[in-house]
Amino acid sequence: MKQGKVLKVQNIRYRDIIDGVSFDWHQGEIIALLGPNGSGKSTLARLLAGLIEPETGDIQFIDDDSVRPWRAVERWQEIGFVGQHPQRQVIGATVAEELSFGLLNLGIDFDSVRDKVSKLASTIGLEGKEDQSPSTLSGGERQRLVATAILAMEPSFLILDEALSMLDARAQANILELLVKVRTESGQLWITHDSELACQADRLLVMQKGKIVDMGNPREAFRDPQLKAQFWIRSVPDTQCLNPKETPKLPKKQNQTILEWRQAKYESRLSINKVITAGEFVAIVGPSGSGKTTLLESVVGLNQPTEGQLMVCGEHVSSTNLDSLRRKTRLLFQEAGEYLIGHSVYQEVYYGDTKKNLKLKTQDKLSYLEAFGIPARLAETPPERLSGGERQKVALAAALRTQPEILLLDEPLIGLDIVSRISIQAMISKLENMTILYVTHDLRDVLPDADRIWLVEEGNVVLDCAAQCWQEHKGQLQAAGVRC
Amino acid sequence: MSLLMTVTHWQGLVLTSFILLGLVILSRTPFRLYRSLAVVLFWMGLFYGLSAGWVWSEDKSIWQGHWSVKGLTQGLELLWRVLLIFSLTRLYSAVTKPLEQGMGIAYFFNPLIRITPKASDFALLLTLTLRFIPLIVEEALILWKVRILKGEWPTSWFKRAREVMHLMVPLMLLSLKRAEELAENLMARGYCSGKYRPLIVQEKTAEDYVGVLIIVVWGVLLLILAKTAQ
Repeated sequence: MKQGKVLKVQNIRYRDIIDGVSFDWHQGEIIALLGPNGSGKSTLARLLAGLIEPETGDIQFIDDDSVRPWRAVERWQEIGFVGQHPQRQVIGATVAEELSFGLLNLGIDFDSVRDKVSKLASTIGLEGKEDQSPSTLSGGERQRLVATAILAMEPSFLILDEALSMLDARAQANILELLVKVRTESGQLWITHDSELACQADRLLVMQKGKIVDMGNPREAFRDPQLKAQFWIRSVPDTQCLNPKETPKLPKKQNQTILEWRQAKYESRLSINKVITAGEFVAIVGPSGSGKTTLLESVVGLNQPTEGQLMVCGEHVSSTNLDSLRRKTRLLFQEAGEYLIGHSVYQEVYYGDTKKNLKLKTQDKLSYLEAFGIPARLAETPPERLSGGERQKVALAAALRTQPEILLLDEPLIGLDIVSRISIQAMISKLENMTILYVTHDLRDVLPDADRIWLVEEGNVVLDCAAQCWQEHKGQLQAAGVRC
Repeated sequence: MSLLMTVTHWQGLVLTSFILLGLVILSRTPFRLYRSLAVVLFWMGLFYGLSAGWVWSEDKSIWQGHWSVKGLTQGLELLWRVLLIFSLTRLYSAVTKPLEQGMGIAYFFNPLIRITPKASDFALLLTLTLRFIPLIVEEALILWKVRILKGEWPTSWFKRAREVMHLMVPLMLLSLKRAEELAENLMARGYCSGKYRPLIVQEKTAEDYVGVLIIVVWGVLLLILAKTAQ
C-alpha cells in the first residue's frame, strides 16, 4: 500500500486566473474545493494534473522524505483526473478498451491487462458488456467506468472536477463507494458546488478570484455563519425546513388544459397519459435515462409519438402546426449555456429578429438583458467568453424573450455555483401565468415553486402527486435516486 | 474477396452469387435492404452497357462504331461483378456494427504493432475516430435542435444554406473544445506512442472458425476457377 506521499503547492500563479495558491495535499486526505464559477477551480485542477504548468511558484512531490519538483515526476502515474462529463472523457471505443488504456500505458503485459479488464468490468457490474461501446451505457455507468479506468492505474492522488454533479443520487452513491474503497491509498480533491458532498471531506478549501482559503473541517465551517456569508457557502440543505408552496398559485386560465398526452408512446423510451393545466409548475424527477428529457422534447415536437397523440394548447401536434406551436413553447436544454449559437450575447437573445430590428439596440432591449443579470456592456461579447453562470442566464433570457406559454427546463442549475443558482431560481420563481415543466435530480431546487411532482422511471410516470404531499412519497423518491 | 472478384470469370461469379444468396438467407436480412441497389444497378448498367457495348474498328472514328453482342456481354459481366461486390458490402454492413468493423480493422493491426509503433498509433487513431465522430454528431444534433426551436426554418434554399453556415461556427468551436479535452484525457492517462493495442475480450466461437473456413475455401475456389478459365 502506498503511504506518505504529499503534494506541496507553493504560491503558484497562472495568468490572471490563479493568484498565489498554496496548500499541502496528503495521500489519504480528501479535500473539498468549493468556489463560484470562474474562480479558477478547474484551472487549479489542470495545474495539479500537469496538463498546464504554473507561470510562477512551485509544486513539489514528497515521497518518503525525498522531495522532487512535480514536473520531474511521471505525473500521470501519480495523479488521476475525472471530469464532469463522462461521455467527453472516454477514450476507448469499447468498455474493455477504456479499462485497458491506462494499464497498457503503465507497461503491464497484454495478457495480464486482459485478465484485469474482465475482473474490473465485473466489479462495476459491466461483465458481458466489455465489447460494447460506452455510449450504450447510462450516464452513471459511464462515469463509473471512467472512474474505475483511472483508479485501476492506482494513482496516489485523484481529482474529481464536478464529477458527480450530473448524476442522480443513486449513481452518485455508486461512485462514492468506489472512492471510499481507495480512501486510504489516494488523496482526493473533490471540486464541487454541493455542500452535502463537501461535508464528507476531511478538509474544506474555498477558492475565490484565484485565491484559496483553508477553512479546515467542513462540518465546522458550515456551522460558522460569518464564514458562510463571506464565501457564499450554502449550508447543507435540509428538506425538513424547506416547505413546498402552501397553496398553488391561481393561474389566469385556471383549469384550462394546456398539455395532454393521450396514451402517447415514444418508441420504448416513454409511455404517458397525463394532463397539465395552464399555469401549473410540474417538477419532473427520476433517475438518468428514465425518459425525462424525451418527455420535454415531446412537447416541442422533437419527438413524435409512435402511438397515441399529444395535444398542446388544444391542438393536436403534427408536422403542419409544429412551427406555430413551437412559438408558444420554449425548451431550455441541459447545459443550455454550452449551446449558444448567436455571435454575441445580444444576437443570441434576439435571435430571429430582422436585421433592421437587430440594429436598433434600444434601451428596452438592454434593460431586458440587465433584468437577467447580464450587464449591457456584455451585449456584444461572444458567448464563449462568458462564465458558466452568465451563459446559462443568457440562455434563459433568450428562452423567455418571446414570452412563451409553456417553459420547459432541463436541469437548468446543473454545474452552477450558489450565487448563479439563487439568481436563476429567483428568476424562475417570479414567472407568472406560465406553465413550467422542470426536470431535476434534486427536488429541493423546485419544492418552493412546484405544484405537482412527477416521478419518471423506465419511461413511465410512476408517481404524480401534489408538491405538498411529497413527504408521503419520500421513500419512493429516494429509492429512485432523487435527492430530497 | 473484392480483389478476387476482379480476376475471376463467369464461373466464379456464379459461385459467388450462390454463396451470397446463402449468406442472405442465413443472415435473415430483409430483401428491402438491397432495394437501394436497384438504382445503382440501373445507372451503372446504363453506363457499362453504353461504354463497353459500343465498338469501332481501328481505322474508324468513335462515332462510326456500333453496338456489339460481345461488348454488351462484357458490360453485363462487369455489372454483375460490381453488383456482387456492392451486395456483399451491403450485407456486411447490415450484420456488423460500425464499432465492430472499426475494432476488427484495428485488431488486424496487432501483428504490425510488433514491427512498428506507428501501426499502434494508427490503430489508436481508428479507435478515437470511432469514439469522436458520434460525440460530434451528438453535439451537432443539439445545436440543430437549438436552432430549430429558435424560429421557423426558412423555405428559401439560399437562406437555408446561410443558416447551416451560421451553425458551422459554434459546431467548429465545440469540436475544437472536445478535441482539446480528448487530448488532455490522453495525456492524463499517460498516452505514449506505440503502447496502444486494440483489446477484444470476446472469445472466438466455433461459428467464427466455420466462417473463416468458408471464406478461405471460397477464396481458393475463386482462384482455381480463375486459373482454369484462362
